[in-house]
Amino acid sequence: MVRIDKRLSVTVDGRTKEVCFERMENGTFQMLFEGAVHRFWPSNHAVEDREFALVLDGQAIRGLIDDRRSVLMQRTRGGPSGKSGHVTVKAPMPGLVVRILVTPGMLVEKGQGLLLLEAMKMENEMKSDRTGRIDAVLVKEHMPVEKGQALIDIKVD
Amino acid sequence: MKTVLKKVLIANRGEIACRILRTCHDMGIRTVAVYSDIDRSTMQVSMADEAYALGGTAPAESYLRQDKILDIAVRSGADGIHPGYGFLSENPDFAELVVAAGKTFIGPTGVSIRRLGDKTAARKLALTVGVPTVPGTLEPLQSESEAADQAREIGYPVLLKAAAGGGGKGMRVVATASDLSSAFRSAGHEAQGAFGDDRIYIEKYVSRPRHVEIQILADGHGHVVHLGERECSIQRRHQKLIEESPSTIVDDEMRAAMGEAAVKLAKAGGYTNAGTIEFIVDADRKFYFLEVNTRLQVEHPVTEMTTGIDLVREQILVAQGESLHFSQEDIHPRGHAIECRICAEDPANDFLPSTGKLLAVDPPSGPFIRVENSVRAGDEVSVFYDPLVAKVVAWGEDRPQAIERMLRALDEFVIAGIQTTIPFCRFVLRDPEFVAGRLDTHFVSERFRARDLGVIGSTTAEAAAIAAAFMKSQTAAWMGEGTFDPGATNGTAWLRQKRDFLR
Repeated sequence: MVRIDKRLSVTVDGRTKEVCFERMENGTFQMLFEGAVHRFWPSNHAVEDREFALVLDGQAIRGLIDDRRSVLMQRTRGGPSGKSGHVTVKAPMPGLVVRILVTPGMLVEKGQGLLLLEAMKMENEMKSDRTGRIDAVLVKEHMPVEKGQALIDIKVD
Repeated sequence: MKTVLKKVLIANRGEIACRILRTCHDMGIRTVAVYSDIDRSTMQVSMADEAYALGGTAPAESYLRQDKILDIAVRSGADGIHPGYGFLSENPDFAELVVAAGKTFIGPTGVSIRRLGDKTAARKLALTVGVPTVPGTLEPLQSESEAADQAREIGYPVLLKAAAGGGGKGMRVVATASDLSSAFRSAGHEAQGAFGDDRIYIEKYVSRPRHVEIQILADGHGHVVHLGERECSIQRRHQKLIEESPSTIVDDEMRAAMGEAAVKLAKAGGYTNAGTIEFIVDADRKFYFLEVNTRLQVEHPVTEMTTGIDLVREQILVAQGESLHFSQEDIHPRGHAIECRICAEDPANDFLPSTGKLLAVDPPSGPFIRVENSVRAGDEVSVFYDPLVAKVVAWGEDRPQAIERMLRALDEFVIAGIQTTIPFCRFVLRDPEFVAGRLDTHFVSERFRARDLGVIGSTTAEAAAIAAAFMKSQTAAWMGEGTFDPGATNGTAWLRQKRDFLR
């Protein structure tokens, strides 16, 4: 067992508490906090700087972390991106573009299907998470795409 | 005609390859694994006595290459081939090629795969022997206009299904006439891509259907027995996710009737080896024959746990030409078994495939838990194969006990690096309707909401926030700044509570 054995304190909502972390040999972590034993591990590789995805005590939990740096970055950008202007839909996994369901200029509703991506032998419909107008379709049918590759630009009002 | 197998080649990968390897070793049979380029360091290779490369990565270049598999069987001196499920398991030509090469195929004969594995042929046979079927066409549809005519006659909603299909591929529910055209084309397209066969047939869509299947075992001497049912109604896009036995709607009388129908159909088809007769059960507990799976099923351990019978062992014995060593009266299922499929899919994100390197894997164990696992830390979960990485099976004296044990086991299961269906399984096993045994194949679409996975108590939220901050602090980017900066988590749909940190 590898012990990092750091005695740490954490301040949550202004109250300082003691916490002890241990990194286990199987790559998971154990946290002793206020008498409770919690086990956790990352469920995804970091997707983006601020995102986290972990499993804690059997429950999958995701969210965003704001540290001082990211808060600063956002201020200089003028607020969180994506509220207006452009949204780029990216491939969540490597796969093959089977069919494109939209054309440039088309209005799309939130939840509307944009394209079919085949991965693991199943066709997955990529849906728009915004209402907007299709600005550009960046891929073609039957084209293999990598994870994170830009697929479709949507102009959001 | 009786043989004794000394060395068996497993023409498959993943958890099923490992599961078959284990029974072979139990029986003192040496094992031969085959592997694609990216599977060289997988568990199926480590566990086998011998392993040979197939080359290639995509199934068409590797696990579907009949020529290469037969060549390896000859080179290694294997006298039997077990196809597992998927890949070549239901390919009658392959079953016959194996036999022509002087080897034993551990599964049904090519002839009986053709008779019962083809959905249209099987439905015809069921009708002639008096096994009830769902109204629909007996011939594949010739055109879109024929599909429209048939749908009108049967009455909407209708179901379009690939003749060669399985696992929900090439399958579409069509609610109204206006949706038929696009559904017909996309089902044909998907079937062509998945099976190289775009034949589609149509049937009445039974509302509030439950999927209940009967496991059978048949030897080459005319003996056929059934091993009770499995309820497989917890499905998403026609992919089973949780299976159990017994079913909460099947009583002794219904079990006997379904078992009798299954045995009758298997006998009519001249079936040998292990097989599954799938039925659809409507709200009035009427059952209709759906299809035959002429192979070992993913969910076979559920039956093994309630009957105490190792189905792979029986498959091998039957393939060796032996008679079944038990009759129907000897089979007494006991207790309740549940299986959860652990897939590399993200239930919070529409079950999209979740791929990547596994950072840690630690399967559960303990009282009455069985795990069919195929992955280890460091393995890469790729997009090329089935997303199933492991199965957890729990046994209990009754259903509530099996559910309790399963929940405990799922909480123990460590799979780090990818998203899995474990949170989904936990959701289902806690759902009051599921616990009450009230379920049908619409359960997932009607009761499961991804956002419910994110509902966490304040204690968990606090612990999660601290854990997230700790993990972030371990990354190079953060360390590179030289200090543990005060930061804050900002709630999202998943983590609503706002928390500030100071360390």
